[in-house]
Amino acid sequence: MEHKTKILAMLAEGKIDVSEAEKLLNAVDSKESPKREFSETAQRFFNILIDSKKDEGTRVKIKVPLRLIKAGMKFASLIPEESRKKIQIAMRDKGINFDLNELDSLNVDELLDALQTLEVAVNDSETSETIRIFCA
Amino acid sequence: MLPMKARVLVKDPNGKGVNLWLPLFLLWPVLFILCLPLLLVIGLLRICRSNKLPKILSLVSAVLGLLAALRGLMVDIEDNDTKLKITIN
Repeated sequence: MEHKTKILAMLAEGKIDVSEAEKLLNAVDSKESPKREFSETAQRFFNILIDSKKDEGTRVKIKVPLRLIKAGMKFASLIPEESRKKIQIAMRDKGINFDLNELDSLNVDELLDALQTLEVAVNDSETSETIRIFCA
Repeated sequence: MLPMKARVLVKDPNGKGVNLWLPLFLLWPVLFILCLPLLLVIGLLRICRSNKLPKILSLVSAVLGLLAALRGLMVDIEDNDTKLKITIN
């Protein structure tokens, strides 16, 4: 921003002409854009915070990189068909109805996009327990 | 990028415990050497133009991706008695 102001000041003073100012502004923009890309692609985490004041004051803080979730899903998609069925049956027996076959790259991206805006906060006054799930 | 170090911290109520710094960067070259036979197998499969090659390559890339994605993982569990903290960087 400081560079841009200097360029505009030089233009106002007549030290450079419009075309030179344009070139300089473009150069400044191209230097600044990688920083923006970095902040957009900076690592994001799936956070789980549990704070229980009741039992022994248990406090749990889990920070999972979103990339790990994506990599795990990619890994799960490589599980052979026969093993998938066995896993699915075992999961169903445990009460988890989740279809591993639905995991493809598109779903993973959609899920991660959805996770980035997720924020769950549960505050139970009876058990004095606070649970927070969010992405940051 | 693969994780370079891991830290495991376990503390009891007296403040005693274990604080382990695990230099993971030492593990990767060893693992690479151990995986050299796998590279040979991949090379042979490529020569034979086996249809299993894409599967093996995608598995290797998925495993590497999974290891690399571990960077930044943090688990911190604490109660009145003990504290357990695991970080991978």
